[in-house]
Amino acid sequence: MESSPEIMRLFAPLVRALYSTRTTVAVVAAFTLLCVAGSMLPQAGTVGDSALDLWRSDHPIVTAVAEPLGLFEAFSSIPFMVLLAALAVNMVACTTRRTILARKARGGAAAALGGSLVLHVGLLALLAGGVVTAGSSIDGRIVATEGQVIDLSREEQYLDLRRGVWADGALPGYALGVESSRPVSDGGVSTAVESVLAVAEPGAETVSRSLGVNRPVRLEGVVLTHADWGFSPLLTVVSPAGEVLVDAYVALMSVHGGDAGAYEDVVEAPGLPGTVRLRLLPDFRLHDGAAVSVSPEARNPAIVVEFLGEDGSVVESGTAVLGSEVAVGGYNFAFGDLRRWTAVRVRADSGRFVVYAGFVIGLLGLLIRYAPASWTAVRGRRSPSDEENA
Amino acid sequence: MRPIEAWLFWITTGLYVVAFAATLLGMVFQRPVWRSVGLAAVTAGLAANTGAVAARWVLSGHLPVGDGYELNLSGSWVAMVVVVGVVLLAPRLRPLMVGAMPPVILALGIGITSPTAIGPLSAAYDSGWLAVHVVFAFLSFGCFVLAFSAGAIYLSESWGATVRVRAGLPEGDALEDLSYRMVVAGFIFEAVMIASGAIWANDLWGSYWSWDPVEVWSLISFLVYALYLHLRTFAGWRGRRSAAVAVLGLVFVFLSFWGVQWLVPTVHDFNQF
Repeated sequence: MESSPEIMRLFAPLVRALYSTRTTVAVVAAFTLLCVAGSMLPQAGTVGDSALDLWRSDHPIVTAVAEPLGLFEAFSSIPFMVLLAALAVNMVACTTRRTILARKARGGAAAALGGSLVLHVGLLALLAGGVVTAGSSIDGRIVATEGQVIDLSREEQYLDLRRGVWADGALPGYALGVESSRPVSDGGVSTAVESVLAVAEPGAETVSRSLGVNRPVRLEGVVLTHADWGFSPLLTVVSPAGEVLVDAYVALMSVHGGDAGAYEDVVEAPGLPGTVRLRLLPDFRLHDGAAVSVSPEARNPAIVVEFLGEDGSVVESGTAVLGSEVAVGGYNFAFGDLRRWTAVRVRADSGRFVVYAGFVIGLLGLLIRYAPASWTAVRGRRSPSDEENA
Repeated sequence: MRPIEAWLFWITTGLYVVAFAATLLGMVFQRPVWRSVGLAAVTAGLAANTGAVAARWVLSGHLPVGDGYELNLSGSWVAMVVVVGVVLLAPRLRPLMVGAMPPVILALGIGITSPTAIGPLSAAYDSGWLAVHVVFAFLSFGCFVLAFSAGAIYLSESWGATVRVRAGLPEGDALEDLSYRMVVAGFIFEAVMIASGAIWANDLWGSYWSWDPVEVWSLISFLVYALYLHLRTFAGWRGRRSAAVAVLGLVFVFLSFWGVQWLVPTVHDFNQF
C-alpha cells in the first residue's frame, strides 16, 4: 500500500495542471474560438429549420466540419459544456491557490491577491448562475389579442415553451388578460405598443399592470416581458353554402411590422380551400390599381384576402376595408373589427440573481485588483499592487 | 442632418485629422511647435465634438445614441474625453494621440456613412441602462485605443523603425507597461459595459444573455484582453509579444461593434431605428 506522500507526488502534476496558467490560457483560447465559430454560423433555435437546412446545403464543406462538432448548436454543444466545466475547475483551483497565497502575502501583494480572489469568486458565481439558468429556468411565449384571457399554467397556450433539465415544476398559475394595447409614439411615429394586462393570481383579485418594451411585469416567480406586437383583424368567413367557417380575431404573425406596416398570415380552417393568405394594410390606399399601405398607423385599415395556387402565386384576391366584406372564390370574408395582439415572454429564472451577484463581486474584484495600476499609469507612479506581486 | 450638425461634424473630423497629422509631424521632425498644434487641434476638436453631440441631442430630443450615426458621434466623443483627459493629465503621453486618433476618425467615418436623418428613438432604447451601457463601451474604447497606440509605437521601435516616434514617451519597457495599464482600465470599463447590457437585456428581452453575435463578440474581445492579462502577468509575456496582443485586441473591439453586424444577423443592429 502506497504512503500518502507518494500518492501526493503522483497527483501533484495533475493538481499543478489544474491551476496552471497554461491550462487557463488553453481553455480560454478554446472557449474563445468556439464562441467565434458559434457567432459566425447560423444557430439552431435562432434561425428557422428551413433556413438552416438551406445554409447547410449552400456550404457543404463548412457543414462537414461544423456538424460533427455540434457547431450549429455551439452554445449548448458537448464541447462547449466541457470547456465551461474545465474553466470552472480551473477557476476553483486558481481561487483555492490564491486563497492560500493571500494568507501569507502582505501589503500591496495581499491587496492584489485579494482582488484577484474576489474577481475569480465573481466569475465562478457568473458560471454558477448560468448553470442555474440553463438547468432550472422556464421560458415560453404566449400571444394574446386585446380582450383575450390566457391561463399561464396550461402548456398548450404557449407558442413555444422550454424547460431546463431540472425544471419540472408546474407553470405559474396566473390568468393573464390583455385589457388594451396602445401605440407608443416618438415624434408622431409609433415605435412600440404598450399593453395593460389584467393579472389574476389563483384565488386573488385581478390587478391591472402595464407591460411595455423595457417595462417588464414582475410577478412572484415569473417575469413577463414585452416580446412583440401586431394586428388581429376580426374575420368572419362564410362558405358558399352559408356555413360560418371562421369567426374570430386572427393574429397576423408570419409577417408584421416594417416601415409601411406589413402584416400577413395564412388562415387555416376546415372547409377553406387550398391556401388562403390574409394581409392587413393599416393605412390602405389604392396606388395605380394596387392596394398598398402608406404608413404603419391604423388610420384606414383594410384586409386583402388572397387564394394562392400550388406554386404560391395569387389565383384570386379581394380587399375589404374595416366594417365591410368581400367575396373571393365564392366565400364571403367580413372584416368586422381590428385589435392588437401582444406577444409576452414568460420566464421563470432564479439564476439571474446569482449572475447579478457575480457581476457585483467580479467588478469589485477587478477594482481592487487593477484600479490602482491603471490610475498610476496616468499619474506616472508604480503601484505597490503591480502585477509582479500577483 | 441639419446644417449646424453637418458643420460641427466636419469641423470635429477636420480638427481630429489635423491633430493626428500635427502630432505625427511633431514626432517625425522633433518640433515641439507641431506637438502644440496637435494638442490645440485635438482640444478644439473635442469642443466641436461636444457641440455636435449637444446639437444632435437638442434637435432629436433624445440622448444621441439611437442609431449608427449618433452612436459613433457620441462614442467618439466619450473616447476622445478619455484620450484628451489622459494627454492633458500627463503631457508626456501626448504622442499617443498619433495611434489613438485613427481609430476614432474611422469611427466617425463609419458614423457619417450611416443614415444621418433624425428619427424616433426606438422603444428598446428607452431605458436608463442605455446611457450606462454606451458610455462604458466607449470609455473602454478610449482606453483600448490608447493601449493600441502605446503598443503600436513600442512595436514600431522594437522592429527597428527609423522614425524617432517616441518623443518624450516613457523609455523602454515602460511604454509597453503603459499599454498594459490602459488595457486594465479598458478591461474594467468593458466589464461594466457587459454587466449593464445584461441587466438591460433582461428587462428588454426577458433574458440577460441570448448568445446574440454582438453579445458573443463583446465576450470574445473581453476574453482576448483577459488572455492578455493572464499571459502578461503569469506567463511572462512582456515587450513585443504583450504589445502585439494589445494591438490585436483593438481589432476584436472593432469587430465587436462595427464588424459583426455586417456579417451576421443580430438584434444589435445599430443602424436601425
